[in-house]
Parts: sequence; C-alpha cells; structure tokens
Amino acid sequence: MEWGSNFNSAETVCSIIHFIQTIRFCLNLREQTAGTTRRTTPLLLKLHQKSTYNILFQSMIDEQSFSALNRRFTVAMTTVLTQFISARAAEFPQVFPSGLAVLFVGCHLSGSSFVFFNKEAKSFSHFSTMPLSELYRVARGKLDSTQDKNNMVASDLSMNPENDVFELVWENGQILLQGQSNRTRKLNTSQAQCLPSHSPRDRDRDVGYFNNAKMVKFGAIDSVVRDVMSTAPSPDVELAHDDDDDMVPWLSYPLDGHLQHDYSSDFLPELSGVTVNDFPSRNSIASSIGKASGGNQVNRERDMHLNSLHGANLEDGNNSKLSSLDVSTTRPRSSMNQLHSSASQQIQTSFPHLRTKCTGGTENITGKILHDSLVCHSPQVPLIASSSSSTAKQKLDPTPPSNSSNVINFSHFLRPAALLKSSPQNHGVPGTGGSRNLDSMVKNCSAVNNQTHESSLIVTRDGIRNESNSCCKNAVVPSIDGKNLSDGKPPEQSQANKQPEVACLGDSADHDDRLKHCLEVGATKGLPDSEKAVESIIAASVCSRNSVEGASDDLPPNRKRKCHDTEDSEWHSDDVEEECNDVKRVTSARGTGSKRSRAAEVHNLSERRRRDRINEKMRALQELIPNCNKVDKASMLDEAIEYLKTLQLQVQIMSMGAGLFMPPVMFPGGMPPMNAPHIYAPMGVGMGMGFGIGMPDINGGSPGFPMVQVPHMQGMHFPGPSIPAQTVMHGLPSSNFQVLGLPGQGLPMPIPRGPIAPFSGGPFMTNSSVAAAPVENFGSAAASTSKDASPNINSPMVPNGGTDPSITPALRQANEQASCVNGSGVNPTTKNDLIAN
Amino acid sequence: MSSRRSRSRQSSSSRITDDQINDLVSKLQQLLPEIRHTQSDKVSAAKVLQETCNYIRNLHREVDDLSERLSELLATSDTAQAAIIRSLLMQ
Repeated sequence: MEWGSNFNSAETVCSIIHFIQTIRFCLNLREQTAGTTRRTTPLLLKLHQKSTYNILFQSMIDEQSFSALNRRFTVAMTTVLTQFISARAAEFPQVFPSGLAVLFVGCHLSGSSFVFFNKEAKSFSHFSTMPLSELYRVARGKLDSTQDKNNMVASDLSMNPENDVFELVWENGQILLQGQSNRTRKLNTSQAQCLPSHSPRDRDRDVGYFNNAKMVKFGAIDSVVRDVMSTAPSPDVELAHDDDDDMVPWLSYPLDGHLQHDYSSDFLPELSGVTVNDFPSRNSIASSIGKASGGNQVNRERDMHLNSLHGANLEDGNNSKLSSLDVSTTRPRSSMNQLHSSASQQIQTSFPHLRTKCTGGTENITGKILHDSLVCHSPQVPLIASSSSSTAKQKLDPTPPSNSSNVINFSHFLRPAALLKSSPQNHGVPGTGGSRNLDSMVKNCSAVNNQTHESSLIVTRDGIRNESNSCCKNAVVPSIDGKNLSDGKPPEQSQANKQPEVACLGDSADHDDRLKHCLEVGATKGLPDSEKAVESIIAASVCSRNSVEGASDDLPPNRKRKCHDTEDSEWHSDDVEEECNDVKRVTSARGTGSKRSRAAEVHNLSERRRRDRINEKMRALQELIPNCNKVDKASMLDEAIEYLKTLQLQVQIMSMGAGLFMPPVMFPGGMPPMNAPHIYAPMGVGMGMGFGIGMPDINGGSPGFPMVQVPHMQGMHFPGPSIPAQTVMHGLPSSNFQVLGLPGQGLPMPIPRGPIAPFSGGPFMTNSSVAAAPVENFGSAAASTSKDASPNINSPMVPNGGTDPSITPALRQANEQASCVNGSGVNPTTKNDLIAN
Repeated sequence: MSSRRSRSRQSSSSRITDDQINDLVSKLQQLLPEIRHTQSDKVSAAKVLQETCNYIRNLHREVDDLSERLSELLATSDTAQAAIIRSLLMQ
C-alpha cells in the first residue's frame, strides 16, 4: 500500500497526477483557510507535521497570495511532467512519442488541467481534474481554429491573451515557455512569468459579481450586519428575562422574534443590510435611557423604551396603513392580537412612565417615542391606560391619578371618551392581573375601540390616503409625510396638552418630525415589500399584519436607503401609489368574511414556518461553506453546489492519492485487438460519461485499487469533445494516446499504453452506450476478457476492505460496489448507469 | 434611474428566485447520495438542505481522514518521482 512503489511509467504519470491533485487539494485547503481559519487549519497543520513536503505546506500557509503559489505550482508541475516525459521518452518511445509536449497546465481552484499535444499525431489529449467545460472555455476557441495549423497549434492554443493561457512546451528535451507574443523563453524566466490559469473562473466570478453588484454590496454590508444581528438581539432577550413579572417583555418578545425572523428571511438582502442602522439606534436609545435613569429603574426603562420603539415602529406602520391594527383586532384569535396587544402594552408602559420621567434627562427620547405612539395609537391609549391603572399599575410607576387624568385628556380629544368608561366594564375582572388577563382586556378594548372608532379610522384613512396621494404627486414622500403627520395629530395633542408631558412632546417636535419622517417612509415603502414577500394580500387581517410587520421591518432599510441614495425619492411615489392601492384593498377586504382571512392566515403561518425552516438550514449550510458571504439564497445554493462538488472531488482525489485507488484509466482503442469491440472512445470526453471510472490493477502485487463509486456529478455533462483525443483515437490509431477518465469530470488523459506498461485496466463504468464495461488485463493477455480481470480486482480488494480501517464509508461503499460489479462478471451493468439516469 | 432599474431587477429577480431556488435545490439533491435516488420529486427543500449539511460534514470528516492518511503516505514515499517533485517543490 505504499504510495509510489512499483512504479512503471504509466503509474508514474498517475502518481504525479496524484501528487498534483494532492497539492491541488492542499491549495484548495489553503484557499479555504485564507478566508476562514476553521477546520482546515488544523488539517493543514496535520499535513504539515507529517509531510515530507514541509516547505511546500509551510509556504502554503505563509504565502501571501494564493495565486502566486498557484502559479508557482503550475509551473512546477509542468516542469515535472515535462521532465518526466523527456526522461522517459527515449526509454519508452511508444509511451511518450517524440512529439509529446505538455502544452498547457491549468491550475484552478477546482482542479488542474493538462493538455498534452502530440506534435506528430497532431492531436491533443487532455487530463484534467477540473471541469472540462472550464478548460474548454479557456482553450476551445483557439483549439478548434488552430487545430489545422499543425505546427503552430501549440503556441496558438496556449497563447490566448485574454484567457491568460500560457504554455510550456517541451521541445527536444528543453522546456520552453511560449509567451503571448510567441516569444520563447527559458523555463527559468517562465517561473517568474507564471501561469495565471485560475483566471477563467475568477474572471467569471468577477463578472458574476459585476452582475450582482447590488447583491455584493449587500453582501458586504451583511457580513457586518451579521455581527450586529448576533449582538443586537441580546438586549431584547435579556430584556425579556430581566423582568419576568413585567408583561411588557412577555408581550414584546414574540414581536421581536417576528422582527428578527423577518430580517433574515423575507427581506434578507436589504433588511439584513439595513439592520445595522436599526439595531444600533435602538440600542443607543436604550443605553442612553438606561444611563439617564438610575437604580432599578434602569431595566424597566430600557425595556420600555425598546418596546416603545417597537411600538412606534409598529404604530407608524399602523398609522400609515390606516390603523390596520384596529382592523385586525376584531379577530381576537388572530396572531395580530399578539402584535397589537404588545404594541398597546408598550404604550401602556411608556405612557405612565413618561409621566414620571418626563422631567428626566431622557425626556427627549421618550417624548419622541411616546409622541409617535400616542399619535398613532391614540384611540387605544386611554383604554390601555385605564386598564393598566386597574391591573398592572403596581408594576408601573406609581402615578395612577395622573394616569387617569391623562386618559381623560386623551380620550377627550380623541373622541372615544365613552370608550374609556366602557372598557373597564367590559373587562369585568380587571384586578386579577396576569398577563393573559391583560391581554384579553386589551383585546376587548381594542374590539370596542374598533367599533366606536370606525368612523374616525376611516377619516384618518382618507386623510392618509390624501397624504400619500399628494406625496405621489410631489414625489417627496418623506417630508410631506412628516409634515402631514405633525400637522395632523400633534396639533390635537397640543390642544389637549395641559400636562407637562405633553409639553415635553411638543418640545421634541423637531425630533418627532424627523423620526416620523423616517418612520413614515419606512412604512410606506415597507408595505409593497411585505406584500410581495407574503403574497397574500386579500385578507384584511393578513394584510394588516403584513403591513404592520412590513412596516416595522422595512423601516430600517428604508431609513438607510434614504440616507444612502437620494434618488430613492424618485420612486417613492410608486411605493406610495402602491400603498394607496393596498390601503384601498385593505378597506375593501375588511368587510369580507373572517373565515377566508383566517384560512389565509393559517396558510400564511405555515408558509412562514416552512420558510423559517429553510432559512435556518440555509444558515447552517452557509456556515459550512467557507468564504460564503453570499446573501441571497440563489447564489448561496450555487456556492453550496460548487462546494459540494469540490468536496466530492477532493475526497475522491485524496482517496486516489492515498492509494486507495488509482486514477481511472480508460483505454481508448489503441490496439486493434482490444479496442474494436469495446469501443472505449465513445466513452471519452463529452460523452456525458460523467463518472466513467476505471482503475489500473498493478500487476506487481501492489494493492489493487478498488473501484470507487464516483459521486454522480450531475450537471457536469460536458459539451462535445472538442478535444481531439477521441478523434485521434479513431482517426489516428498510431497515436499512443489513451484517455484516462477521471470520475465525475469526464477527464480523459493520455496515458501511455502498451506492452511496456504492464498494468491491467479496471472495469469501466459509464452511463454511455457501452453495455459491458470492459475489463482488460494488459499484463496477462492482450485481449483478455473481463472475467479474467475479475479476480484481479477482487483479490486486492479484500485486503483493502479488511485491513484498512481508515477506508472511508464512501470508499467502502465503492468497494462494495466494485465487488458487486465484479460479481456480476462480464456484464457489470453499472450502478452508475442507474445513478446517471 | 439607476435605482429604478435596480429596483425592477430586484423585484424581477425575487420573482425568479423561487424558480431558481427550486432548481438549485433539485440540483443540490442530485449531489446527495442520500436522497439522490428519491424518486418522489417532492423532497422538501428543508430536507435537502439538511442533508446537504450532513453530507458536507461527512465529506469534511472524510477529507480529514484522508488527508491524514495521505500525509502519511507522502511522508513515506521514497521514489525517484517523489524526489523530483520534492526537489522541485523545495526550490
């Protein structure tokens, strides 16, 4: 089982390729390590410790630039191959025809690629561990056109400036590097020049990035955001645990969950990017408040302010959405009630709190928040305040009398004066406390509220519609909204404000305007987004919920967007229009049956849960993929697929390198006796063989290399073989090229074949038309049957499976499959066939 | 105007995304040996993703094992080719 033992020339090439692949793998590792010093680092270190190639690995770790190393490696490998060929050419003229040259070595993140050019046969062959499509993209154009120009092929093919293809040509035992201008240089200089072979994909990536410029932008932001998000929620959670008795956190917590969920799901790119703005501000408010107030008030204050900020967001959305909250609260069991109750709860808490605190240093902020919440929720405020005075006031600041007066005040100018009286009666058991109780109370209140204030709501709705309409015309949504808001409601308040706290509110009018301004923009813009995201707009409650959530969720992004580009205002009008439509829809749908809405809501919920799960998994997946900072799901999945393929290839290559199996060898019909019936050539490149795999069984008694089931790489179906290897095989039987296929990649490789290289080919599994994968034992007989080969393969496999505990499951599975194949004898109908189809 | 364009692209891409994602998920599924053969075309995306995660973890483990093994083998290999390669690499 010793690597490299018992070399013959073919094996040597294989070994070198193994080694190259190994190094490639290491390079891959290094690349991964560069981004995330995770799992791969210890692995590299492990390699480093044990390997004789310390310097290489050391340099891989230390090397600043991966590409530099890559180039070095490429050149080095070309040199190795070329030297090797030159060394063996004389010895084995048949194996290495005199015209053979290493034309192109491409090193790529996903694999290496070699193109051999046989000058005599004027044919190319290709070995690659990277997708042929990649290589083709690099070389194809030139390849086809230059194929006819026999002598110039090499230079033409390789020197494709835009593809950055360099070539190393072995000529007369001398290695030449042909540059773009067809100047030839000595290899020494070529080392410096290098092979920027990974450029194709990089360029592709660049293009991709270019296309998704916006995405990338978000991505960049998102990486920052993720950190923020990870820390930001903590205050809220903390908050929830801080005051267990307090109903505020209890109620607000689900809301938070909603918010955060939405951040990461529906509006992922934008929202997450924007969260930065939101959370810090929230936190800063909370912290500033926390600083301003002292003692055991800190916690509660912070809670309240966080909550009230939530409330403000919610309510602003509410406001602009024509108090959709009220609409939804008519359905007590809808989840909207949660939101609503939490919102009102927030008001409840902030309300009395403001009274006591309004002389404090935080009055500005509180005033702002309260102002907003009052403005938006004014109908409910009195009710809640009263209920709070009866139930939960002991938890709040001890100002019941003023509280009630406050209520009266508000109810006075907000018309629902009667409501104030009716609500305590409705509640019946106000004193028992308990969050649930209060919750239900709130529900009742709001229900009553809703009824009594329908007219007023409609009025406001109309007003808002007018607002937004005017906004549409002026296309300057924010300022007008802000103005309208401040014009509309604050005056009312100022009328009624005989109390100090209201004065505070008035003092912070400037801030209010600004805040509202932002909030309003967020609300207006949020609606369409949420609409799109949830897709069910018909039902009033659903819609209202959406709009509320959307408003609160979208608030930050919009705020940020506003800060970022001023052009946005241009299409604000669109949003507002949409909003108007939606508003109408809400109005019209409000009357429709609640059954429908409930069903829609259920559906919506389940849909949300489903999306939740997917997003969660997506995040987990993202963590597993190194350097994956993609934000949108599509490119995330793309990345995952790519990574998975790379990993599979890596495992496969390493298995090869570890001597568990040799690179699959496909024997194109080179020798008449063998090739005719077996028709290997069609299995070559581009036949969609995808996972043709063979393995040489080394006759020298070295361990056999069991067939390995190759991961089925779907979508790796490579386009027709422009690589002439096949053609060569058919047309030029004199050429000594054989195609070595690597599993999964459809990798043909010129492998010396002939009497000098006594090794037996393994069975080939393809999904191609070849029904019976032929097994050939070159060592025993020129035209041996596959039955002959079976024992050959089987015998070494047993020790493999038995003695090697480190054989990985995949390999073991592969072994099993191999034996299965062997067991089936002549006709190893391939499992791969099944897999393929 | 650029924002308008980007916005329309966004919205259109968000519409595409569903199809795209389904497509990608099914591609992903094909890469997973566990559920590759599942004929029922309806494997939930969440399950596919879950399986992907598991599979990637497995592959990571495998790579770990193999790299260890490989390093051993590389360390013990002593052939002309190895020497050549070594010398080249140590330049």
